[in-house]
Formats: sequence, C-alpha cells, structure tokens
Amino acid sequence: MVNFTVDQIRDLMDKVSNIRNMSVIAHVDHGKSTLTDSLVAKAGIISSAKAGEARFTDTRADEQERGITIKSTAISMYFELNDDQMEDIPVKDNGNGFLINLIDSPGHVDFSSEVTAALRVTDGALVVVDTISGVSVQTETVLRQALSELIKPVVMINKVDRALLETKLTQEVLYQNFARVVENVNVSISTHQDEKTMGNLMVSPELGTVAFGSALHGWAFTLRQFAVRYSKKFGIDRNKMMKKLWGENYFNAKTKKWSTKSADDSGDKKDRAFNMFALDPIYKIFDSTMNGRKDEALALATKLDIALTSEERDTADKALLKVIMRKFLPAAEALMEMICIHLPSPKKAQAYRCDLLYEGPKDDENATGIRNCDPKAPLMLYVSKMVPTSDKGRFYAFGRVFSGTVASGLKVRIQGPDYVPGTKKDLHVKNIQRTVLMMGRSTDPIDDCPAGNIVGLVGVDQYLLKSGTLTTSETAHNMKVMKFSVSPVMQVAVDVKNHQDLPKLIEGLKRLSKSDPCIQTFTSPSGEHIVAGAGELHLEICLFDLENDHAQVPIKTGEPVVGYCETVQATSSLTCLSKSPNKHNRIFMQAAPIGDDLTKAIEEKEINPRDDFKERARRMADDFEWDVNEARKIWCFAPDGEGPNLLVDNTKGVQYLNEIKDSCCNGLQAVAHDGPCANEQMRGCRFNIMDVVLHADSIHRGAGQVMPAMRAVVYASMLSAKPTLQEPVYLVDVQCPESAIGGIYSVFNRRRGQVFEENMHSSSMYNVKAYLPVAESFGFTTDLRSATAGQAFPQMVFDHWSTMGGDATDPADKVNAVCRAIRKRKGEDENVPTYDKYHERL
Amino acid sequence: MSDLKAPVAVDSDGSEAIQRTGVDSRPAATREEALELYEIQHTVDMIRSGGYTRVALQFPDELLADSSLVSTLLQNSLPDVCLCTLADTSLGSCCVDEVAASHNGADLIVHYGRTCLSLTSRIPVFYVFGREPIDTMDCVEKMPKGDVLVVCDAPYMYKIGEIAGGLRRRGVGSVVESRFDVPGVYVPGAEKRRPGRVWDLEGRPLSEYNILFVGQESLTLTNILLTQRCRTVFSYDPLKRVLREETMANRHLARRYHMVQRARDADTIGIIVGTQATGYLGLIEALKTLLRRARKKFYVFTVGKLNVAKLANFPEINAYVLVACPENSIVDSKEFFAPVVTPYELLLAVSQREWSGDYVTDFGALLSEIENTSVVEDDDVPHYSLITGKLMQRRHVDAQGSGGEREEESTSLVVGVDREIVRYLGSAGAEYLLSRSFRGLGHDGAEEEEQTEPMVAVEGKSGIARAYAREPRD
Repeated sequence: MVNFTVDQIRDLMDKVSNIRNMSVIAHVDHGKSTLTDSLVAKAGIISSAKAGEARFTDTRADEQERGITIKSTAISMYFELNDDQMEDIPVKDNGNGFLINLIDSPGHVDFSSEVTAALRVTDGALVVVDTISGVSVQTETVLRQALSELIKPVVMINKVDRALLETKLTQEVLYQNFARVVENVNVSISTHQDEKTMGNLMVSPELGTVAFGSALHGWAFTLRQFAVRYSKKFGIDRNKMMKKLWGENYFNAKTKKWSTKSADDSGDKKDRAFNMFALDPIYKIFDSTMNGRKDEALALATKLDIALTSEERDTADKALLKVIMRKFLPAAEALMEMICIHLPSPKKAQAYRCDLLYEGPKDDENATGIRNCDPKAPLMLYVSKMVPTSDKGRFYAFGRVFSGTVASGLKVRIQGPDYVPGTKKDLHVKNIQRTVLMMGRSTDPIDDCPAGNIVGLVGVDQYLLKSGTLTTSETAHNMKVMKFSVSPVMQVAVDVKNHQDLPKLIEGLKRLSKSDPCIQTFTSPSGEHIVAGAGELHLEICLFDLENDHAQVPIKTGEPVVGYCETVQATSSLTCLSKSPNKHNRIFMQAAPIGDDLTKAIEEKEINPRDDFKERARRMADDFEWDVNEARKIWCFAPDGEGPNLLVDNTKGVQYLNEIKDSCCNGLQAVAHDGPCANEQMRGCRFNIMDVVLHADSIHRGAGQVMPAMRAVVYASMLSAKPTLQEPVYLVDVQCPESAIGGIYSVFNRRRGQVFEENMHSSSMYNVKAYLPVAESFGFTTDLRSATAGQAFPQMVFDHWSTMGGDATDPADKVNAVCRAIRKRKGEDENVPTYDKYHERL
Repeated sequence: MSDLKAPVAVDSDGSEAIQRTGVDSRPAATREEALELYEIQHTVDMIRSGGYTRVALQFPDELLADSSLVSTLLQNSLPDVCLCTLADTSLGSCCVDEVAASHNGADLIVHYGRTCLSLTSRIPVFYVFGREPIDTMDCVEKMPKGDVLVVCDAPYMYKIGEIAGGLRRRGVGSVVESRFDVPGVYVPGAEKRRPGRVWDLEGRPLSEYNILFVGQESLTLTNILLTQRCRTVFSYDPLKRVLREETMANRHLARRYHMVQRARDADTIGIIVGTQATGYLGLIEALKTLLRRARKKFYVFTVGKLNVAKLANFPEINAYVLVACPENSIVDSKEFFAPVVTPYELLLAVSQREWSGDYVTDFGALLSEIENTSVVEDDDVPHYSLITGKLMQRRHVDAQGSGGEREEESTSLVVGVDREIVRYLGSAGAEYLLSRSFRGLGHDGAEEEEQTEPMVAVEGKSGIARAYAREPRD
C-alpha cells in the first residue's frame, strides 16, 4: 500500500494524462474482487491503516458473508512505471507516477445496473475471465455494455493455478485454452465495437492487452514481461519478441532457430515459444514445489533472480509456491503496467466519448470542455449513483467530472433526468456542500476536483433520485442517461407489521430507490407498496436492506409477482364506437398491433416522440413499412408521452378535429397504464381514429365529453382485437457438467422453459441457454440445484416480452385465467369484459 | 351514473324522463303504510306546534314515488300550510338542501329518508327517518358475543332499543346503543349540538368494542368502517336477514392511501363544494389557507352532483378535494380522471405527516386539525412520488414575486406574449393552455401552419344545443 496525504493525491488529480479510470468487470465468481484486492494490497492509496483485510472493496457485511459483490466500490491506486515502461506510454508529460481509479463491480446479473453505473464513470475495463469456465453470458453482457459506453477493454485470464493444480492441463492444452478464451472475447468485441470512433479494440497477448495469472496467489504476467526478460538474452527487439511469444511461433532449442511450423523438416517436434518461454518456468515451479522437491524449487528461484528471505525459504508446498510465484511474476506489477500502457487517459477517452455522452450540440462550450477534459471549462459532472453515508438517509452523489472543476461551496445547476434545456423542469440551483474522495470504505474531504476524476459530493442527494448532470453552464444539456441491461420485472408487495411504522417504510422505500440504480418503488392503485427488481436475489438483498438499513422497521413481504403487458394480436373485428356522456360526440376506432420491431424501436428511443415528425415518418416508412401519411399523423405516444402505443389520426375532413386532439391524447394517456384485460400497461398497440362526429357547439365537445368517450373506445377497440398478455421472459444461462444436463432439462420442462442452445464449452463443462418466463422463475435456482446435486448454477437476465397468444376475452382460454388471477389480486371484478361493455351502437 | 347515461333533452316531450326506470326505486307505499312510514301524525304535530306556514318536503330520489301521497296526507291535516316538494337535490340527498328551500321561501324543511344529520345554518329542519320493518330477534341471535356498540341506519333507529335490549338479555357483553341527538325540529343557532350519531362508552375506548351496524350496505357503513377504530364491524341486513363481518376496511383504506399519494403529487387543486351543511364555508376557507401555505394553486368549483364529464372538463386540475358531509365525501370511483379526495386526505397530502390510519370527517375536528398541521416548509426540496417512483419538483404557480423577475431578465421590447402572461398572472390554467397543441382560433403567436385566415362573421346557430334549428338530424 502507498501512504499518501490527501494533498499528494490531489496533486496527482491535476495530471490528467497520468490518470486511468477503469472498472473490473466479469462473470460472477471469476475473481474480480480477489484480483482487486491483490492490486490494492500492492498499490492502493490508503489514508488509514486498513491493510491486510480481505476483499477490500466488499464493504458490506452481507457481501463478505455471501462472497459476492453487490455494490460497486471505487478505490484509488498509485503506481510508478520505470523508464523502460514509460517508453510505451503515448503521452508522457507528467512523470512516471500514475493515479488509477479502479471500480470493482458485481458479477451477478441481478446487479448489472451497478456495472452500468461504474462503466459510465470509467474509460477502460479490465475483463476478468476464468480459465476453466471460459467466457460466459455475463462476460459477454458486460463486454457489450462496456463497448456501447465506448470503454476500452483489456483481459485478465484468471485462475491459472486451478488449471495447473486441479485439472493438471498440459502446456499445449493450457495454451489452447488461453487461445480459445482470447478468441471468444474477441468475437464479442468485434460484434459490438464501434471501430469508427475507437479503432480496433480486439485484445491479443502479443500486444500485451491480455494478462494471465492467479489473483488468489497474487501472480500474473503479460507477454511484455517475458519479452523484456528474453529480449536481452536473445538480443531481439522487445516488441518483436512479444510477437514471437504467441501464436504459431516455435523455437528449436538445439538449433536456436525460430520457425512458424510445429515440426521442422526432419520431423523433430518443436516447442511452441509461449509454452517454452512462458509456461515452462511456471510449470517447473509448480511441479517442484507441489511435489516436495524443495531444493529444486529454490534453485529455480535463484536462477530466476528471485530473492527469498530466510523465513520464506522455510515454507513449503503451496505457501512456497505462492511466495515464489508472487516474487517471480507479481500480479500488481503486470496488471498495473497493462492498465497504464493500454487503457486510455481521461483526456484521450473523452475526446471520442464526448459525442456519446453529451446530449447537446456537439460544438458548444460544454461539449468542447468535455472533449478536451479541460479543468477550466464550465463544469460538467455526471452523477452515476448514490452511495449511502454513515448518516442515515443521506447519500454521497458518486460521479465523474468530465469538464471543469468541482469544488466545495460551488453553486451548480443540478439537472435531473427529466430536465429540458431552457426550462426549470427538474432543475435546482444549489451549492455543493462538500467534495470528497471516495476510497473503498473511507472518504476524505478535498477542496476541489478537476476534470477527469471520480468524486463524491455531499449536499446534492436531495435533488437527484439516482443519477443526473451537474453543471455551471446555463446552456448545458444533460449528459445522456444510462441504459441498463436489466429491467425491474419482478415485483413484490411490502407492508409494515405495525401500522405506526408506515412513515418509516415510505422513507425507507425512497432511500432504497436512491441506493440502487435499477430498483423501483411505488404504490399500486390498490394501495400496496411495490418494490420491483431484476430478479430474486436482487429483491432479496433489497428487501433485506430495506428492513435493516433504510426503514429499520419490521416488514412483511408478499409473494413475488410479475408485471405483465397488454397487447392486441389483430385488427379490431369491427370499427368500435363510443359516445360522449352527452351522446352528442362519437369516436370510431380500430386497434391493431404495431409489431415487435417497432415496439422495441420506440422503447429503445430509436423512434422518439420528440423527433421531427416528418423525419420520423420517413424512417417509419423505410424501416417499419408504415404509410408515410399515416406516420405523420401520429397524435401521441402513450403512456407518459413516450411509450410504445400510438394514437393515429385516420380521419378525413373532420371539422374541429384539432380542437379535440389534446383531449383524445389525454384520454389515451389516462388509460395506457391500465389496460382493459388485467389493468396492466398496454404495449405495442396502435389506435386508429377512423372517424369522429362532433357537436357543432364547442362547449359540448370539451375535454369532459371527449375523454370518457376516448377511454371507452380505446377499451372497446382493444377488446375486439384479440387482446392478450405479454409476459417477461428471462434468458437463462446454465453452466454444468454433462451429468447434470438431464436434471436441467426436467426442471425447464416443468417450468415452461425452452432450451435453445447447448454447447460443450470446455473440458466436459456444458453451457445450456434457455428462455424461462419470469413468472416461472420463483425458486428456480433452488429447484435447479436440487435437481442437479448443486452442480448447475444459473444466471438469469430479462430478455424480452413474449406474447401469450389466445384471446383474453375468451373464458375458455388460459390467458383469460391469468387475467382473472391478476384482477382478483387487484380487487377487481374477476371477469374480463368483452368489447360490448364499451362499444355503443349508433 | 344514471344521469350520465340518460340526459334529459331539453326539447324532448319528456317521454324519456317518464320511461326512465328510477334509481332502485321501491314500490310506492299504500296510504296505510305511508301513515306509519312517514310519521305523518308526528310531522303534523310538529308543524302545528311550531306555527310554520311554508314547509318544504325534501325527498331523496328513491322515495320520490311517495312524495305526492305524503304531500296529500299532510295537506289534508294542515289545510292552511303551503307545502312544496323538493326533489333532485343539487348536492347529496342526505344533506338538507337549504338553497332550494329558500327559493320557495320555506320556513321549515322536512327531510325524509337517509340522512347524514348535518346541521343547517338558516332554515329549521325536521328529520323523518322512515321506518323499515326488521326482525329484531333474528338480528340479536346472529350477533356473536363480545362488547358491542349498536348503530342503526336511520330507518331502523326506532328499533334500536329493542335490539340493544335483546342483546343484553342474551348476555353478549356490555351493550351500548347510539342515538341521534335530534329531538324534534332543529332550529339553527338555537343550541349547540353535535350532528350525527352520539354514544357514551362510559370512558372505555372504542377499540374494545365491536360495532353492530343495522342496515343495508351504504355510505354510512363505509364511513363507520373508515372512521371508527373498533375491534370488528358486523353488519346486519334486515332485508336479506344476514349478519356478516365487514373486512373491506383495510383494502379500502389502502386504495384511499393511493389517492393521497396522487394528491401529494398535485400542483393544482380543485376544491369542490359538495354540501351546504353548517361549517362548509369555514372549511373551504381553511383549505384555501392550507393550500396557500403549501404554495399550491387552487380553484373552487360548484358543480352540483359530481360526474366524470363535469370534472374532466378541467384537465389542468391535478386533484380535487370534495367538501361534503361526512357520508358523501368519499368518492370511490376509478372513473374519474383526477383523484377526488376528502379534506382530511388533502391535509395528509400537503403536510409531511404520514397516515396513521385514522380518519377524520367531522368539520369541526377537521378545522382544528388543519390549523394544527404544519405544511412542508422547505418546499424547494423535491419530494419522492410514490406514484411515479421519481422525485417530483413542486411547481409554484404564484402571482407574487414573479413580476420582479420579469423585469430583470428581459431587455427586449417584444417578448413571448404567452409566457409573459402566464408568469404575470401566475395562472395554472394559462400555463396549461401553453402546453396544449390547440389554443383556440386566431391565437396570438400561433405557429400552426394550418392557421386559417380570420373568418368573416356569419350568422350563428339558433335554438338549443341538443339540436340547433338548422342542424340536420341523424
């Protein structure tokens, strides 16, 4: 650990080209936190002595208990490169010292939103992959997220010790294993990378962007280190040497000749250079120490210039192995070098990330400030998450300064996610009470923090729920909101055990919502308090937090339930008609589905209600086969003015029509959350107003007349258009040995799951991918474990909405039964109405 | 709502109104029944002894069928008194319609049927509850053991003593009966009296008692369920002869709780006048003061009986508060586009106080509650909305203080007319208009491309709205 004063750290913050902001991302259990620990142990900046504690970044009791990371945690590190290493640094105007801000993120899919929040404030990512289990779904997911945020990846292939000690792979098999992991990572990268803005991001060992090692034992290497070692010996240029150490390069020890063939003309087998120069010494150390040949091991150490103390010499077996390996190939050294050399500085990264991050014009002063990472430009700071303080109910706003300098007492504009430039909506102008440096468990106050750094703020938590933009410029637009890969599809109702605790519960729900980027809390129309999260584990953790931390009152929870959507599958069987309460106005309407692609495009904001309507109509005509004229006459998106349901004016020559437009839109907005079948949100429906008959006198066609008619006709047209529900479906990824596959299939079959892919991915480990309805996922993990004797571990992430088919209005249909159950739970009349309840005759 | 579905057209021959089936009207009473049911003799005595000369008879819709018979019976005994019948009360039929009565110059109102027993402020009132048949023995036998407070709906009040006596003889526990504190005619201002039902629990808390409610499911029952924190509420329906344990309270309260949350998010509140009971003006004033303190914009509405169409005409209102007698305050309908809450719920919504599950409907108690409640002081801090799950910023529509800002900011001569007016007037309505796409014809600064030229004045329509003189009939 490096002992620094806050002032020394503050000095480092000004040297932007020597800062690296990076996150550690990986599949759960691939060793992120252990790796982080070994880095922190070496280079972590500490202000108080906390060295030696395991899992430095898992700050919560339950994280330590469960052995998984739940919240992402930031930690600052300091590392000095030697002059030789500095040669590979592109910009070297600030000396050899580097400030590395590392964020350790959770690996379990349920907490992916934490990863998203971490990625936003960093520029590079260290992707950790387990040698044995290889690239998994979650690895791909986080990589995709990283690349969509324009984050540059480097890879650490971890748990090599297990490959040697447990599976005892031969050198060549291990090499093939490494090669396959690298290839798989590159497949993911090439599909998702943005080559135009960032260039080629593929990783390769010969460039030094892949490290191999064991976080647990504290050793790791990149080819660069071996290249340095051997370039002197062979007198070859280091970079050339690196290339020779990977791939189809062989060395004949007898003839001392390089070749690209595994066997020379005489048929002599030659060793792959990687095996010979990199793996061989490691294998020898393992072999000698673990097989009790201590003398040989010590001799080897001497040969490799590893100085051991006398105490260290007294150890044996695994302990000796660790000591030798750690001294031979210290993990922190290799990884820090890789991070400093290959990950971009904030200055470099912001130049290409600016367009993605900033919503406003690309040439205003704020955009320029971000692009140049200019500490003197107007402040642009993105708060990506809230971190609870020791003071109950208060939070540090955790974020990154992209431009300008943030300081204690500075007056800033706090722009929430709904801020519209030029208005006062979701805008507060307040002073920042304090800026702090956040390092794992501890915080230290600092006076100010310049662009390119990660910082914690006190005093803005009241004005932002989860995230937002802070700026000093009145013209600044928002930084783009983060797009999460998980959705809160699983809900649970909570209530207090004692009625008088209700206020505490409400406050607790607010705090819970603040503390997690993805969780949602709200009350349902039936008056229940709902907590919505990504999955069972997520909810379990959140409810635990709610009870013990945020609300601190006894809480009872209901059964988890799933939110559905309502949709239609055909065009209405008739043109529905509803009359206004005074019977003098009539609205004729038909509902129709808009299709999955358009629904998704609207949800992804590719088709945006705020776009210019002509441009939007053009795109809808080109991409979604809409009639241009109809697409131009979209009156509104619903619900909330942006949802995936459309109100379209299909009328011709109706007088006064523009007068009732607002009332029609309001009428649809009012019911779009409340479909006719099960009072669930509507999704993917198009409502065509076919004709309108209006009273000649404006007082008789006011909002009071049109809105109720609109509500009725929307319901009637949906109910006559084969209405059904859509249910959320998880993508499940299970890794298991061959023997467990039978058990997995039987569990999926019982739960309406569909297996669609089954791969053998490494040495007898299988990878099964399946779709599973969220409604069937309660207790799935436990069920699967018992069916496979604990050998299968599933990862579930929300994938899509699946239309359930049938007709919700048909009492014989099973969708109808689902609707009835939902209606009953909500305290409604159980029978799903038919369209004639709302349709009126002329 | 029936009046929504079947409007009476002004120019129709009235056949629709005649054919319309009334709201669950019961078969008309015979002469003998009426004498008993409407307490004719008692009424006659009261009018005679009070020396009243112009008497208004107020019937609820469901008893309207008997009105002519009752009127005739009374007139026979009181040839000198001018009688008139009030029907179709403009507000709730449980409240006394003083305004309609004073149109007729009445010096006494006789109120028939279910009543909330609210007090009047100008005209004396005499309540006739009516008498419905009831099998008291059946009711007594079905009631489980435990201390009980007996509450009867108005038509069964005459049997309350019998029921209570029966329960005591059965020995279910301590029995307390409620009574109406209205002996004879109530003259406004003559004496201070608590409206509604009263009872004496001899110092024990109500939470130790069960409540037995005798009567059909009605707003009175709902009201008891919401406001009285007792052990269990049992209701006995004399028509169906069934006793059941009422459990809807929690579910109902939870739904109301959701309404409170929605009202909390509202920036513009509509105060609806829904009663003429004594004290409503005071309460409205108190609510106005409360809303002013909370820096919310409000408008006062008198719309008569509520329906969806009337309230939907004001989309700029985010929530309504209904000032009505205790039994009519709770509007529990999903139909309304904006939540309609009671004054107590509004109080909860604008104060940071959380709901403990109590419920106050009495005007007097409400007034003191309102005075004793502090509203959110630092309202610059956005609050967490439990409806949207987001932070909500309070929007202040506030005339004062915005004028100065206007001068500071603007140096140009021509300013955006719309925004300036909104800021100047501090009007929620004007601000809402700005967000609309249609703002009327020939509006200043309208940028719609299809903006038409002003039309030359032409002769308008004539006749009535149902069908103008020259409008083609369909």
